[in-house]
Amino acid sequence: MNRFFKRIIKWGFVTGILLLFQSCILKEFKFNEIKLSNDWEMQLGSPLFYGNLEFKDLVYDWKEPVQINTGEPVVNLQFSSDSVIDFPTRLIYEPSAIIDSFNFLIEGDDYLSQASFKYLVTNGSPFPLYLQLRFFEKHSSAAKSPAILPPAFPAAQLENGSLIPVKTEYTLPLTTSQLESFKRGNRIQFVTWFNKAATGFNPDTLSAHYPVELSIVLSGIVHGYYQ
Amino acid sequence: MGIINRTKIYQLQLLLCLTFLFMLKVSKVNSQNAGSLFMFPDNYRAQMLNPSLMRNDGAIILAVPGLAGISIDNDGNFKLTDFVYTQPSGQTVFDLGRFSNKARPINLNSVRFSLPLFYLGIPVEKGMFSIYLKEQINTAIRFPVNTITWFDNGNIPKEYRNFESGNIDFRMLSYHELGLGFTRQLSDNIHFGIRGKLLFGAVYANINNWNYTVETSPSGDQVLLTSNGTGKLSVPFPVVFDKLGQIQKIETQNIIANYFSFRNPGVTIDGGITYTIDENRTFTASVTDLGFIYFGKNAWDLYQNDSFVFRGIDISNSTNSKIGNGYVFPFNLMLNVKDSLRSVFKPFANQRHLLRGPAPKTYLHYRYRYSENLAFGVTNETVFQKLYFMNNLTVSALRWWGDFSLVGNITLHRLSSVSVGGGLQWNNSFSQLFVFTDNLMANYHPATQKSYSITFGMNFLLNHTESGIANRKNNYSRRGKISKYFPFYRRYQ
Repeated sequence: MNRFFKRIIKWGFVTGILLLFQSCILKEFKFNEIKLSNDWEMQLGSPLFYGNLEFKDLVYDWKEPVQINTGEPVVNLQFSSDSVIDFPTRLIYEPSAIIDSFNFLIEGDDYLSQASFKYLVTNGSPFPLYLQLRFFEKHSSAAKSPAILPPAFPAAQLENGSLIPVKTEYTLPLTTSQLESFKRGNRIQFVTWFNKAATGFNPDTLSAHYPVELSIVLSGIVHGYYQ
Repeated sequence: MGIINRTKIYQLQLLLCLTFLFMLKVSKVNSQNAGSLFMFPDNYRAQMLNPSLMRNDGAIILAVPGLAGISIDNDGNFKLTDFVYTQPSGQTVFDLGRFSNKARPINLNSVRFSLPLFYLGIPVEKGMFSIYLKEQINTAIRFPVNTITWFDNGNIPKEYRNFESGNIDFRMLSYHELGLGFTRQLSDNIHFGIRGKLLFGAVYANINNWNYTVETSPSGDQVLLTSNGTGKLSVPFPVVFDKLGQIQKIETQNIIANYFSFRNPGVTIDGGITYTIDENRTFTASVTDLGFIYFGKNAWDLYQNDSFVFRGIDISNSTNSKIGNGYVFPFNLMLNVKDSLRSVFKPFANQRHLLRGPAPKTYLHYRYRYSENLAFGVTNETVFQKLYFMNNLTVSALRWWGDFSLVGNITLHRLSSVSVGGGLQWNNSFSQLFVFTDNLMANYHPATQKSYSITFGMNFLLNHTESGIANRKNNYSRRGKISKYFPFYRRYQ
């Protein structure tokens, strides 16, 4: 083989190797640009809050002493056998911010596209209970964010003179604005009140310790990108 | 003569046919570089695997950082494009759902990464002295498909309420290796080589049977989280612990400087022998990585066996009515709940000293020179890891064309899968360039391959002596001498 052909072979090999490596597809390895697929989603459920509360926790915020207006109806709110206070009846039916601003620091909720709250409430009080949540940002006002309010949770059943707690489950899909406030908010306001109209129960004395158990569960669809 | 040539041509054609039959019949491929490398005893990467191999031409081998090349050996039963791919829009995406659909019951992947920084081989009388420095990183992971299904299905559908990850295993060993080797010609047909290696361990991790569960109650108001597993860990970075002895975090400041610090000393030895049966047949054998690394600092036993029932954040004592009476501040409550959740997944660590080493390996190679320009070889690599061993058997064919050498090979991996590879080496007047792979398709699109290996690099050849020119029977032909104008070997036609 003469020198000419040897050189042809030599440089042919070099060119071939360069072409081989040049043809190598490496675009899948752009790890700095990688994102989760738009097609990916998972249905995720997680409890958010629970509480073993009592009637007294839900009727008033107790930050200020109870003011009784002249002539207004009152009820005896019994804390123990020897501790009873006069409590304005109207306060039971007026919304009270039982938690003004609860730190809600959950990461990753920006990836939610749909969400619903499942409420599991066992109401041992004699009145239907309303529970309203508002998610808002730290330097904003709770009043400006949309309220998330399920139907009233039915009152306990009166049987043979005693109240039997009633367990109720509601699932409330969040509207677009409610979901947006949930994702942006880092504070929560809990507001509760009771519904007088729905019950004929009107005793003179109410226990401060009627039990109310509540659990709020988030169900949502999580995606691989910001919603 | 014509009959002999035709016979050779037929045999080559048969080999090619068998190669393509394997490619058609077998989809699972695995990798082994060693099979190709041992066909080139004058290549310094082969000499690193068998210290009895040496050049016959008296040249000094010098490989320098940046040009010495790398070796990557990826072996698994899934491919990168099973979960990372580029969409038509050009966006590269990570798709867990796609991986979940494609995953096998047990998913395996191991990577051996080798980065020679420096190699110097100096011929001495009837032998060779060598020294090198390289970085070595070995990792392996094993996980069942269950591990992924959580991220695809979530925990709301009834059939996925009780999630169990299955046992996850992970191993990693990385170290800096300084090798000092000596090769000696004991007789006309026997070469013996031994190498002592000083190792400095960087990272050691051995995660055994880590298992996680997420059990969601029917109404969704309770989620039980559990963790189980043991392991061992040593890292060259500061580790922060909490009061209970759980790992809080691993500091990553000065990560490069910390990684390349020389600590955790170890010693291993390699030994090899080359027996030249006759002018056409050679047998070599080597044992490598016999020894240990002592991880004395930043080494721990790990274990986790924790559980937590998450019911949400308990607001019972955070209502305004509790202010002044057992009130729990919401911010602290939120942090405590987060800590409780995280603590399930933070392993406990007990400081101890660890004695661990790289997996010992044996290499057996037989080479038969079929003609002046053609040789065949069989190589067996066995890797021992505790009570398990991995075996690769490679059949190679080598063809010389002047300065070029072209090799093709078929590798049987654990007798259950096959790969087809090849490589070439180019020797010029002062250097040697080489590239080998055991999966030719991987060179086109590595992400679509489950297993692939590639070794490439170059080294300089200095101070050839005319007396040391290789015998064409044992190597390839050289006709050169020292140029009076140029310090490197120069070829004269």
